[in-house]
Amino acid sequence: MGRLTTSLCGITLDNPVIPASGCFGYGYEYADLFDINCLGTFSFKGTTLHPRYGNALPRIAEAPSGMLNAVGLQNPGVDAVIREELPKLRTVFTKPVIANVSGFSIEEYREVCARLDAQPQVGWLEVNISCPNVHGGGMSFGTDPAMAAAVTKAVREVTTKPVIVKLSPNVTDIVSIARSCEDAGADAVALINTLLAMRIDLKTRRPVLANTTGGLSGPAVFPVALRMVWQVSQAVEIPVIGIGGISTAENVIEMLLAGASCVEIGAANLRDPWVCQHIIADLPDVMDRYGFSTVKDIIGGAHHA
Amino acid sequence: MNRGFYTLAENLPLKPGISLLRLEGDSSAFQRPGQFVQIELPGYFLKRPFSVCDWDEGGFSVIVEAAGSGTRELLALPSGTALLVHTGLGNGFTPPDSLGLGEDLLLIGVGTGLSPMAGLARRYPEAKVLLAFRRLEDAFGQELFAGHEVCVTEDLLSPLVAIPHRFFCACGSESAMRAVALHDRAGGQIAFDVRMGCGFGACMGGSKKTVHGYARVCREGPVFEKEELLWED
Ligand SMILES: Cc1cc2nc3c(=O)[nH]c(=O)nc-3n(C[C@H](O)[C@H](O)[C@H](O)COP(=O)(O)OP(=O)(O)OC[C@H]3O[C@@H](n4cnc5c(N)ncnc54)[C@H](O)[C@@H]3O)c2cc1C
Ligand SMILES: Cc1cc2nc3c(=O)[nH]c(=O)nc-3n(C[C@H](O)[C@H](O)[C@H](O)COP(=O)(O)O)c2cc1C
Ligand code: FES
Repeated sequence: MGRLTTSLCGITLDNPVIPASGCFGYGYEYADLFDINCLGTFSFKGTTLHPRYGNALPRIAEAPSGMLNAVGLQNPGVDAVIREELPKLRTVFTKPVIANVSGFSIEEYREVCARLDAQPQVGWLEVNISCPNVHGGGMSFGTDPAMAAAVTKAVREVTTKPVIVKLSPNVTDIVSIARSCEDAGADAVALINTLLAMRIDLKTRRPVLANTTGGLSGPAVFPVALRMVWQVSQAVEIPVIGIGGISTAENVIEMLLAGASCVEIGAANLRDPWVCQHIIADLPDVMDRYGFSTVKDIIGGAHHA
Repeated sequence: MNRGFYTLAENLPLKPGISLLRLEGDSSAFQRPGQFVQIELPGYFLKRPFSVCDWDEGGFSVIVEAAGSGTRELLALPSGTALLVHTGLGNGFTPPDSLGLGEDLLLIGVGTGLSPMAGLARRYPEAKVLLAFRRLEDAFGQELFAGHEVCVTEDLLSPLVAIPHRFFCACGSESAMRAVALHDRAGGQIAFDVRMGCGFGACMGGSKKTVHGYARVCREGPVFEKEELLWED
């Protein structure tokens, strides 16, 4: 066991660094740049039952220390993911991968998870009940504890793989949502997805994004995400994946101290595609600097200091 | 895709608010005009995409128009500034080999879309050039096409019919490129800009419908065959 080892729902990770869904495609763009087997694992693009083009352009806007996206879950649909993307991925990535799942009905979540459950490459199912960029689905499941529990329960019934529920920060009480997911059988929670946001173009006097609103992510959201991970990890027994604004090894350690068992990194990869590789390489030195011998020693450290 | 630091070596104003910038550094990732670079600007999270105008062993050039705060600041940077750049992004123009020196080739640049046309013009000495601007007083950059027959216009469409050609390469705003695609009877290739996130294919920030399904402008594009683009939206 290396000093960076951690575990997620019984599966060992060589290190706690995991590129987040929607920011790492299906891995190959990055596999051209570095050996992606250095990662703990990664979460692939949100997958739905049917192919989706996503929202009209523009889908991207800039923000101070971050970005907005309103991609709207562009993906080829679960069958094409299984038929085309997973076999291609197998040639560049040998570890179990996180399958990120989205839906517009409980039935859709259940169906997509059932099909991905049959894939040996998939180690975990990450159920995204927090996408702010689609209407009639996504985040509407993640803003109500009863709906969040219903999706979790439906998915739980069709898979033996660990179920991670990905939570929205766009709620008044993220702790109660996390608790209802735990009670409904979630094996872990991942937080946060993006914060609902918008920009207006001064020249056109219209919203920059065709979808009007989008989700804010990047360094700007780090303190919000950290606060939520801190609150949720105190309230649940299951592991918490910390996501939001991470771009350095120091940020990773801070998120682990707040109670995360591992972290996902999104927007930072879009700005610097080598960022995860560099964070993994930097971690041992930064741990030395702050006196941590192993990643496991860091997790939740701020709660009992 | 490559990444490296480049030194801003020269800022040659083509008209107020528009300059040809020369950046010195490794140019090994450049293959064809129409490819683009993403330049990181201090203080901004997202990099700015620019078509490559031309390159040599020592570096490359881009044409930058002050369109917002990032480009304004880029144009004001002193020479000697080091900039982090992603290079060799996207696919460039690939006119058919049969065009030879380009006597049947029309290069269409709308606004700063003339930038990759300058690189193509050097490779196709006989190509004809059409430079379109919203208003004639906005015109710039004719000097980059010395030795070519150049038509400068604010009416993009009539010259498409009047100038004989078998093939065109065009670059400009999406709306101008749509007009070219719908009016020009010849075959051709088209590049346009959309707002991007990563610029290397990972985020689905800018996708376009094509006859083959969805294409990422940064990866499958930014140059597309006229016939493959679907313009219904
Ligand atoms: C493939 C490609 C090639 C391009 N080639 C050139 C070129 O050769 N010369 C040139 O002057 N410009 C070019 N552009 C447009 C140029 O990228 C934008 O003008 C520039 O990003 C504006 O940045 P800003 O900070 O000044 O504007 P702001 O409006 O403040 O920028 C805010 C955000 O929107 C994005 N953005 C704004 N306008 C555009 C646009 N038209 N296209 C794409 N993103 C935009 C910016 O990148 C930034 O992320 C190209 C764009 C693309 C996608
Ligand atoms: C372009 C883009 C696309 C995204 N797509 C998805 C997605 O398909 N599924 C999902 O669960 N989260 C998606 N996210 C959210 C990220 O996985 C992550 O939760 C969020 O961006 C916060 O992390 P960050 O600040 O490190 O980016 C997306 C984020 C971005 C920027
Ligand atoms: S800009 Fe990210 S996929 Fe094209």
